[in-house]
Order: sequence, then structure tokens, then C-alpha cells
Amino acid sequence: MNADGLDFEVLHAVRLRGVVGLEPLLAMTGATPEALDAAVATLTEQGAIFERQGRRVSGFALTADGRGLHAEQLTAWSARQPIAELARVYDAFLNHNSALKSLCSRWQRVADDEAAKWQAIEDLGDLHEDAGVVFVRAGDLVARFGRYAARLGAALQLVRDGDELYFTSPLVDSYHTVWFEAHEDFLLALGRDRATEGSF
Amino acid sequence: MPPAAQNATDVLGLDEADADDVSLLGGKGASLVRMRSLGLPVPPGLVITTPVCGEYLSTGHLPEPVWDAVIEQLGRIEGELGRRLGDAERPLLLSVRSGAPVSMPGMMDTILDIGICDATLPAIAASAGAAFAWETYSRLVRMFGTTVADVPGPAFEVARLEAHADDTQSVAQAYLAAFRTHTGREFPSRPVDQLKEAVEAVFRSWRSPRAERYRTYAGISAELGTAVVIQAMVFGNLDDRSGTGVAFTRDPATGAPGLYGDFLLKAQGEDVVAGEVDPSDLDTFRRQVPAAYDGLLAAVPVLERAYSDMCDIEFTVEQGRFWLLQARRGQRTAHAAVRIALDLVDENLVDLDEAVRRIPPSSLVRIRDAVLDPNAPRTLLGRGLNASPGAATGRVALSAARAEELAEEGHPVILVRPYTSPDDIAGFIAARGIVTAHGGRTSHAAVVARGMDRPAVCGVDGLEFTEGRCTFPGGEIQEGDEIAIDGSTGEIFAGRLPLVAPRDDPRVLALLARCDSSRRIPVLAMGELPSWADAQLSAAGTARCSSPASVEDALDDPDVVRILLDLGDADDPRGLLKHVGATGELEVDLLLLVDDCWPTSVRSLPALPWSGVVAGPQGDWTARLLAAVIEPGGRP
Repeated sequence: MNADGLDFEVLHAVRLRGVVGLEPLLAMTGATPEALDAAVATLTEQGAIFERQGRRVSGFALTADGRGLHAEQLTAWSARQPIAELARVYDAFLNHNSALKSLCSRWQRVADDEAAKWQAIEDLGDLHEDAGVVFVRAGDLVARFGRYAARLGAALQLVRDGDELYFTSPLVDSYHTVWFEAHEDFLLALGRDRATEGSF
Repeated sequence: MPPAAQNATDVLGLDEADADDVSLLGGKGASLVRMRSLGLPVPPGLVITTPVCGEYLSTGHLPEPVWDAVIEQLGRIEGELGRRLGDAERPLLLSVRSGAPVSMPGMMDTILDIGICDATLPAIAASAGAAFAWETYSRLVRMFGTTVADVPGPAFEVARLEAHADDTQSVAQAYLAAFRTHTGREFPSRPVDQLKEAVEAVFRSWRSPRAERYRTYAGISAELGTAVVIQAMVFGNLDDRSGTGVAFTRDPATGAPGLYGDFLLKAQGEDVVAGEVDPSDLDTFRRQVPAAYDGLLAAVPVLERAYSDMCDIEFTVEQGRFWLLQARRGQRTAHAAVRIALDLVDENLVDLDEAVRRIPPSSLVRIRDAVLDPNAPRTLLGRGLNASPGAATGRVALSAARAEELAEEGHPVILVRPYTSPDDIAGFIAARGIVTAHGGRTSHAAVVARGMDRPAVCGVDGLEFTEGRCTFPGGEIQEGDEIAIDGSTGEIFAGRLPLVAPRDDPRVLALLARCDSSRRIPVLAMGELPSWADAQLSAAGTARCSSPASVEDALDDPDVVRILLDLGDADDPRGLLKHVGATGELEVDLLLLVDDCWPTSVRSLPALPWSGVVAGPQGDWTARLLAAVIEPGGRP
């Protein structure tokens, strides 16, 4: 991806996450560390992003100007994408969305029931396999969406390996965190909002 | 495998079996038999018992006498309901379920709506609508295809993407085509053929790789076998006196007594699970179909006595008639687990030792949570769903950025938003509690709030937003004003309400005393902690290790003295360290600092031998509970 393309991807990633560090940015953009550093430097110079060190949360965030810049660039970017086809794939994504949220809630409730937890992890695997088809299709249309499948798969593998935080914890790139982000990305790309759609 | 039992017990109607014979009937079968025997309205059905599993797996065939007995039992079911398999006017649909003697995930679980085929489709469409008929047919083909005929799930996903998603008939036809392509044959059009294949698939799934993986993991014998439960399906979507729902016999979030649940009029179970339409609550159910509600109410004490526990009930109402589909011990939050266990002791359903045994370790610490002072006067601003338990009070922030600003200034914050987006997470972290106008208990806001142990009230009807303020049904609140929320009840109050430790409930004190006598690591009062502890605190994270040398070295060294220090809800851990109590004698090598997120991340604590737990300034309950649940040699 050329520098301009990466600059937008990074700006978009910051928009998606609010506050985001270098490591998740690498995963979200698929860039090399050097290219990412260059993009971050460019955007910082432009006054679009800044680095914040909060007591609890640190990373890059949008400035007020950055928000406006992102909105402009998003419109221009969308105009160059196969939006109608992406919308059809998004409908297929939505088929799995309620199931994923219910499964996350179920996981949070069965914290001490080993058999139920085991089943929930298996169910997550099944959902991931089916939803994988959707992300592959989406990735064929817009490269960035293809990366979600790998990130979701990585979270699932960590859960299977015993790191239970990676099912739903908001403090890491858990399955729920990445799915939530993917949904938001679809909405931004398609110019839709949660309120109209009723998907909270 | 055990030798095949006499034919008489190979196939049993739900009314013929002995509910205590779990090894014969499997867990699911035994539970249905028990409910029938208690006089509860369970749809008629039969069980093909566990010895037949072994017979099938060793020969590859269902014995003829077994299948004949199944057909005979089906005749009785048809008689009871006035519906027949394959009938063009009043078709009988069946569910087929696995059920091993012990909880065994990994097997094929359920196939619903066996009996839909070209012959019966028109009758189903006539009574429940064409869209429902085609959707249900699709669901059967997909479920059957993936679980019985080993068609890969993605094949159906692709078929759906290619069909016109809005045209339910075209989706069904696409699924049928996918089935044909992947199996080389047509989807079975005779209900008895569908049934037989489903039964055989259940038995085969006993040996599925997934089931074998679970058996290895859980140490379960491969000899047990599974039973198959075949049951009539009832229709909740036929008319305005039909519907489907789920009920808990006590509130699964708080443990408060009283029926709690969801009901969807004119819908089947899958519609509720899909979560596409907001279900109504049970009060609405009571008004819509009062006679059926009475049936549910009557079932509650019967089930709680039978299980001596809170239960979750799945039910369907068909044309005014209440049917109970499934009942089991209900899942519940940590808060609820504590309350229900103690209430059951009061009601003489269990004794205190059993009650303590039932409360999972990660739930025990919930008894330390502060609550809104019940004696403080309060003004109700609004109500929503109790999405994440606990109480909080603070200044209103209407954006994540404002929440962080207020928190940096040292104020407790409540984040109030229409709904949640990923870029709100920093606001969640800064806030003590969350309120959203939209979304329910499975919303992202709820999942995130629970994942961080933040109280949350979601789906507040009538909450609106304008620049710089939000309006509740009970009043207008400017950004920066104080409110208090109770995530366990869903209430929101104006102004700051004091948070107090739970009252000295004698039952809770009895529980703590039990913990004190069973713990195996000491609760310590510590003097000044070493200066390196202060210097190495990190800014984020849930359980932070601090040590003078490298943490990795300390973790590996068996002679290192390790203690856990409860930070409670402290915003400023550095300041807190100055408050830790009286003098002690221990030379500490490694500290694990446990902050307010730890109940959800308790399993991420390293498995180490712990030397003690230090009580924090908010009191010693957490320390006493932690000391009781942590094994001296490893994680809880």
C-alpha cells in the first residue's frame, strides 16, 4: 500500500479505536513497523493525531482537526470502493452478529461451569468458521476487512490455548473487541449508523 | 460397551421410565421424565436408551425391534396431540436430542423440526405463514446437513450469500442444492427417514473428535454412551395466544426472588435466541395469555423443590396451552450466586455447607461490593435494564473524552451515552459506571461493562441527549452533574448517593466465618511496603507484579515470599500504599497488586505459591475471601 493509503488506514484505525497504541495499529493496518512509524509521524505533523499518556490508557488519538480530516477522507475513500457489494456481504455479517453477542453474554455468565465454558469455546469456533466466509468475501472487496479474519482467529486460538481473557475482555484484542471493531468499520465504510439499524 | 439390555428398556416413553435411572436415560431424558412424573406439562416423547448406542456403534445398524418400538411410541405421541408425521393437514414435527448420563458437550446436540418436507410444507405455511415455513425448512436442511450429513457449514454460508437473502424460498432451495452437491443425494423427503438418520447421527456423534476431546479433557469413560430423546415440537407462532419464552425462577443478575424472563408472542424459540426482536417481559405474557402464565407460575415451586436450586425454564405456548420444554439449574451472575445460596439456606432447601460449596470462588468476592446506601433519600431519574451488577455514583460525562478529563481531575465519573462504539472504551475505563439509552443485556455496552466489572444500566427508555445535557424521564441532567446508578436493579438516581459496605447480614458473616476456617494462607497486616514496590507500579492492567529484581526471576524462584495486596477500587495505587496498616515481620520479595478488575481476571493470576494476602483499607473482606479461594500452591 502506498504511503497515502497507509496514512488513511492509520487515521481510520485511530478513529475506530479512540485511543490506540502501536501494537494494535500494526495488527489493524498490516504495515511494517517502519512504514507505520512514518505514517504516524506524518499524521502527527499534520496535526491530525497526537499521543496521550493517560493514567490508565495511552496511545494515539484524533485531534479535533483530525476528526474532520478523517470524515473528509472517509467519504473520498468510500466513493472508490465497491459499496453495493460490500453491503450485501454486510447483511451476511449481521446474520452472525446477534449470535456472537449472545455467545459473549453466555460466556460471561458461565464463568465457573467448566463444561459450559468448553461448549462456549466450541460454539465460538463454529461461529468463527461460518463467519470466516463472510470476512473472506469482504476482504476480496476491501483489503482491510480481510485482516479481521486473522485477528479474530488469533483471539480464538488464544482462548483455546487457555487464555480466557481473549474471549470478551475489553482490555485486550479479544474476540469480542475485534468483532465490535469490525462491525464499526462496516458501518463507517457503508455510511450507516447503529441507531438506524438498531444494532447495539 | 455394556451388553444390550432387554428390548423392553431400549425404547421408553416419557411416562414409562424411571426418572432416577440417569445412566439409562441420559441427563436430558431423565430430566424430562422427572418433569412428566411431577405432573408438569412436557410435550410427549420417547427415549432411546444408552445401551442402544453401544449396539449401534458396534454393528452400524439400529436393531429392527428398536426401530419398531420407536414407531409404536410415535403412534402414541400422534394420538396424544392429534398430529401425524408426514400428514398434509396436521403434521407432527419432532426434535431429536442427544443426552449422555453426564454433561458432555461435543456431541451433536439438537435437530429441530424433523418432519418438514414437501408434503407437510403447505400445512405449516397455512398455519404459520409462508416465510416461517421456508425459513424453518432452511434451518432443518442446514442443521441436518451439517450435523447428520457432514456438509461443511461454510457451504451453506456461501449458498446463502449467493441466494437472494430476502427471499426465504430461494434460500431454502439454495440450501437444498448445497445439500445435494455435497452429499450426492436429495435431502430425505420422508419424515421417518429424516428421523432415523438423525437418531443414527446422534449415536455416531458419541465418537466425534470433539466429543472424544471433551472426554479426554474431563476424564469421562467412552463406555457410557448417549441416549436419544425424541419429542414432539409445539408451535409458539400460530396465533395471538401462542408464543415462546425463557424464565428464571429468580433474577439471574441479582438473585432476587420472583419470576424473571422474556416472552415473545407469536414466535418460535429460534426467534428469541436470534435476538432480532425485543422480547417482552413476563408481565406482558401474563396479560396476553393469562391461563398459560398460570401454568408457568405453578411450575416454579415444583421445579425449585426438585432441583433445590434456582432454575431456568424454556417454554412454549401453543394456542393458549402452556408447554414446558426444558428446565435446569439456571446460570447466574456472581452476585446472584451468593444471594440465591443464602436464600435457599433460609428456605431450608440446602444447608450452609452446601450453599458455600455451590458459590463459585470467583463469585464469592461479590459480597464485598459496595451498595447505594439504602437509607439515603433518593430521586429516581429513570430505569433501564440491569446489564452489569454493582453500584456507582459520580459526575455525568457525555463522551469518552469528557469522562477522561473528569477522571484526571480526580472525580468519579458515570459515562452516559446513547449507545457504545469501540472508541468509547477509554471512557469506560475512566468511569465508575455506565448508562446507555439503547441496547439490552447482550449489547456491546453490557458485554464491555461486565468485562471490566463496571456497573451498567442499559436501554433506559426515554433518555435523550442534546448539547451538554441529557434528559431522563425524571429530570434533566447537565454534563458534570452527579447521579448514582444501581446496575443490579437498573435504577438511576439524581445526585450523589453514598456507597456503603453491605449491611452486616448475619448470613454473609456466617459465610465469611466459614471461609476463615477453611482458608490455608494467612491474611496479613503489613507495615510500610518496600520503596521499590511504589516505584514499579505500572499504569494499566489488572494484576500487576512488582519486584526489586526481574519479575520473571521472582516468578520462578520457589523461595521468594509472595503476597497479594488488595487495592480495592483505588484510583491512585501510589497513594493507597501509604495507607496500608500496622507493622509486620515479613520480608517481602514479590507483590502482586490486585485491583478492581480482578474478579473477572482471577484466572489470569499466575499460579504461584502465595505466602499471604494483605487486607486493603476498605476492609478485610476481599482479603479473607481471596485467602479462602486461593490454593497455597496455585491459582484459585
